[in-house]
Amino acid sequence: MTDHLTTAKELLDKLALEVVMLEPGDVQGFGVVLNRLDEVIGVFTEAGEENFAGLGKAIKSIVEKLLLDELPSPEEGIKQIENGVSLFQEALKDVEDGRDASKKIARFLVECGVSDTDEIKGKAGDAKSGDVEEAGAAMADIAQDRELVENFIMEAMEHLGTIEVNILNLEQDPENFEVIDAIFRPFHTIKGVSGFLNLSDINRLAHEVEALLDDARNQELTVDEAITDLVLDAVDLMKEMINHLSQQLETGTVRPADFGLDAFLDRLRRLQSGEAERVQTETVDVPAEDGTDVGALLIEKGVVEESDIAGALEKQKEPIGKGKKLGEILIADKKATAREVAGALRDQKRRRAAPGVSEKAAESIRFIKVDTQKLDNMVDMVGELVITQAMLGQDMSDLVSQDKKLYTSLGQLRRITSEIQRISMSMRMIPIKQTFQKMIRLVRDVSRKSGKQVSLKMIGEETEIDRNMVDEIYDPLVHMVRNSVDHGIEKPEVRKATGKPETGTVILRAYHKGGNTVIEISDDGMGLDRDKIINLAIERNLIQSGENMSDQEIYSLIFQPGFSTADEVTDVSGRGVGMDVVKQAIGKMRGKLDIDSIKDQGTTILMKLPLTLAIIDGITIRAGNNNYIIPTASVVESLKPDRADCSTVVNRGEMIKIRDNLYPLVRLHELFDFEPVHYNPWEAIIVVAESDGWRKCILVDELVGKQEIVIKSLGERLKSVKGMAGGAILADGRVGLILDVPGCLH
Amino acid sequence: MTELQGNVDQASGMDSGRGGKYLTFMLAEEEYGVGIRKIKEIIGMMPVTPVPQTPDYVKGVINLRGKVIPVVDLRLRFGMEEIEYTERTCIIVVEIGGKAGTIQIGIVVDAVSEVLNIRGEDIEDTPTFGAKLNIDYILGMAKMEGCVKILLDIDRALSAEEITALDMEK
Repeated sequence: MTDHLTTAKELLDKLALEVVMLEPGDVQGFGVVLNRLDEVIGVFTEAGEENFAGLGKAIKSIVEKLLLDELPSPEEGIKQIENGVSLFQEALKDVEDGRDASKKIARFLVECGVSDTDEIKGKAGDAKSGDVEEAGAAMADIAQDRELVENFIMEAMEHLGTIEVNILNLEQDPENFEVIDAIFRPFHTIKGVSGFLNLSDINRLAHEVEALLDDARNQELTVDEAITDLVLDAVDLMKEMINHLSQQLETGTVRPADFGLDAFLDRLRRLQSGEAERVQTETVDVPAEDGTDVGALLIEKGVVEESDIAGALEKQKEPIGKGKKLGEILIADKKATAREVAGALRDQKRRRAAPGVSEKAAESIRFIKVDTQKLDNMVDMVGELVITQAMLGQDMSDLVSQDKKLYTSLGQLRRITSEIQRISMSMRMIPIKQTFQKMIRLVRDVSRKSGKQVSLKMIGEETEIDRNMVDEIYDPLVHMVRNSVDHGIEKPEVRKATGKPETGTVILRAYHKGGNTVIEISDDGMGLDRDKIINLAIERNLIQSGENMSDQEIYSLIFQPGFSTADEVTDVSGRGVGMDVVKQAIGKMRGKLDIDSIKDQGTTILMKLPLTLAIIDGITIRAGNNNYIIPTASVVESLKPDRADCSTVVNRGEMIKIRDNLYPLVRLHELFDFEPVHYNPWEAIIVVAESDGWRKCILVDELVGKQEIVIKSLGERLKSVKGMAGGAILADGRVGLILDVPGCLH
Repeated sequence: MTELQGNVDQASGMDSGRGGKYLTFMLAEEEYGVGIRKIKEIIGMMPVTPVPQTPDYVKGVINLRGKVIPVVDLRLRFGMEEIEYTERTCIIVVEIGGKAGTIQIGIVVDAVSEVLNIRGEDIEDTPTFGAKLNIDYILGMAKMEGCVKILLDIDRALSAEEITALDMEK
């Protein structure tokens, strides 16, 4: 009797049990049966026994139909499945006894009227159906179920994301079974759906990884670095496959690709089987634990007697046993086996971890996905609603004083509209958590590569940021976290020598502060080297000397292009690109970057970002007949200058003296060509604006007010207008132009 | 003729030529038409925010239900004399092809007349006027009872190249 028949028999026995339990509408049960059938089909396909595989597929198709509610009578369908499975078992017996079962199978296939009976019969008769044909069929499937496949791709990517995060959690806490479960489940889902969609490669991979995790779950395997590495590699491989799939979907062509799946699966299986032996020998010297606890657990389990523990504890105090763990002594005395002690240790850990864990794993908020375009449209319309509401209030103001009912109704309308506005704005906001979580993997990889031990802490992950900003901050964040790990944190030896814990810490923190979202990246590494930066800056002609410069000023030199303080160029960073790119990206979002560092204690980088990209605080000014908006962020102050403070240079350039500083004057009416109300600065008002360290005075006629505005593009045609950053809908429904301060000043 | 075929979709209708439905409007005593498919909506005159450093025929931008769109005065665009806006002055919002998908632009006209079904055989090619007049943006002339209507290729009339070209002349 061949090997695969034994496996198949076992599988079929399990399957028969599961089928008996089936009930119409029990989706989960169907899922289990589907997975099992896939296993059976897999076994036969591998063994090249097409007719058995065909039978499996036929049964599977009935199950699928049931699942999709396509059969007139579900009870009948289940009956058919039961028949099919028992026939399967009979047929297997026949083969074992050396009889031919193909006739029986063919009869069943006709009986149950499976739509693709012919195809299966054909295959049963001719087992040579090639791979090419299959690939073609698969592609046809993909094209047919385009929507399904698209959904699968999207969901699978999300699942892989959660898996990554959880794997890294698991590494911190290898005994946490809830985390293993949280990794297991998405793989299981991917497996189920990919099987359903006939994506065999993905299905196989998911299946194998799932099996490995199942072993870990059943404690047949201890999770160690090799396993987490393997699962992470599996995630990468699967991502590659899914990307390939989505490319296929886009181009509509079949391109078989070799992902080295078989080699990978070999590696996985080796690890899976090899590990079983390692468990025995290694777990003995598992972490140092509090002796009495383990002892109590062992007594509880009935492995040892109280006296044994007491004896062992005595021994621990004696010189020979000193430093040894309780478990080790017990094993040495043959009072308990290694496995029992390991089990107790694991239990102990689980009990300790139990309270905090449940909330970690059971975090699911309900979401729906909405096209961002729709969201933007809604925000637009809500803006209009607010304006119309305001205008209505104004138009009705006379009537309102006479009509109390109208007054309350209008008040109600105002409240509702402002609430709708608040909600629609908040819909664009999502927690920063996902972005932070991506850093976990980064820190892990970079610290591995550079041979450092780094732990990442995250604070304030629930802080919400604008959806559009998520993508924008990702790259800068990657740069900075990399820098922290690669440049900031020292090697373990160095850290030990300076009296720091060997494991460095990088903290990511997010919070809202005064109309800003602040993201902080701090490490407890070596800090920035002031002298080194000064020397480098002098070398590059950025400064003349470091005298008279504050620490802040010197540290901000690292934001200059081509500036790197790393002694050696590593594969990770130190090529001189980085911080200037970061600064640019943050500047584009109208954010600010601050840096603070203490030598040998660490560096903190503060990223101050506006709450959202779309809304800015603006000061509305009037110049001539036009209203313009100046972003509040770039306004330093506004004042009416004294006549004596206004002076001209060579009769042309105008200067204004404010508290002993001279600032050049910019006349908007000259830039934009219109008639101003006041020509003389001492009659008008000047606004001191700042950009990139430049300060200039802008001459305006009147300050109208301050308001939050939604930035709108002026459209493709008017994009390049100099000095204009865009348009905004003002409170009266008209369009106001937003001044581009840097453009006006230079 | 091959060049004209690209413009068939400007008007609705099955005719293989230029026939179809046109929205007609007045501009300095002359009647013009624009293919109905290009029209998004017609709105009354509303406050326009001028944008500096643009050609004078770009009147500025308006708020079209939360969207900011540019407005072009067609009189100025065609080099006609500017007049005071009246009760009948309208902004026709048209949709034209831009670099990234379609964009909406408002055009200011003296008054909107009607929607006409113009048969292909009633449309004649534009006679050339030599260097005096650029006729690139004219689709053809429709002979109707007692008058001639000038059918515009609105994409060309408002194309970015035209606008920048004019800008450079300034």
